[in-house]
Amino acid sequence: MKSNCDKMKDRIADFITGILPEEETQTFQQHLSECSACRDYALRLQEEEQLLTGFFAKFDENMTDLEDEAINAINRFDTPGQTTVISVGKKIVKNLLIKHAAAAAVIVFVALYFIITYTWISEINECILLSM
Amino acid sequence: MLDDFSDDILVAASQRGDKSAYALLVKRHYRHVFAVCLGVLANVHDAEDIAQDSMLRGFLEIRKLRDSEQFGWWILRVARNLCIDFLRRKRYAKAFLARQAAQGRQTATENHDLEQAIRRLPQEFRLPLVMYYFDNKSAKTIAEKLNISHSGVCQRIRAARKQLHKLLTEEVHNEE
Repeated sequence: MKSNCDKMKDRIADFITGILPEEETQTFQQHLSECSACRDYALRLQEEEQLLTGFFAKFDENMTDLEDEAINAINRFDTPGQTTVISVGKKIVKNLLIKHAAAAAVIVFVALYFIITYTWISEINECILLSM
Repeated sequence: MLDDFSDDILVAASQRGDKSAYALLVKRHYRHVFAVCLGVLANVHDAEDIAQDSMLRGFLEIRKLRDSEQFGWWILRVARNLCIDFLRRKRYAKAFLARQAAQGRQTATENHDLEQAIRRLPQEFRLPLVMYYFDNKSAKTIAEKLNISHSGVCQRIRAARKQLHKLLTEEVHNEE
């Protein structure tokens, strides 16, 4: 009997909370009619259910004020359009900087290549002339 | 009149920077956002702050929302992420979890009204429970919002209710 009551506690919790499937309510009610311990448990859970419902309902009292505070906070901010323009602008500037830096690096690299090659060829020519 | 508009119309207007349209979305979704914040943070004042931040962040980032019909789900995700950031930023997470574990172990000897008992529930049970009572007791809606199965939501709510009963019963016995 006790293990049956233990299983029934899940159903009692579900029933009181409102999540017990309808097809299981008959078995549950049959057990409650026969078991005083489970009836007491159900009564206590029912009292707690009322406490819980009341506890969460009290938040609704100042929900409108909280919503208005959130709206006021939003109204103090720039619109997303303005924010986006600024961020897009920053990206363009950032992209241009990267492109210019890359172009400068390529130019420096090519210039160095020619200088080194020219110096190297000149040295070889000098060596050839000296050896002759 | 704007009240009759669906979320996607209000989102489209908000994406063009229309604050009055976004204000209606705030009116429609704020309490769900607050429920998530309360469920995660277990502190009313922190939940109020982060819920407000979430609505603001939602407005600033609404252009990133591709499927405007999903605003309700998206803003809850923004809120959950901000709650996690909040816990992390304040180096709250470790202390918070340690405190929860300690509270879970200790017997009900102090400050044990309903609010305290809810605060002592593990977050995985507390969040669906808080949302359930804020959401007209619809387990189906919560399953959609949390992206978990209906039976998963029911299991967590049941576990929360049983644990809550245990905590409240401990309180009564200790008072006696």
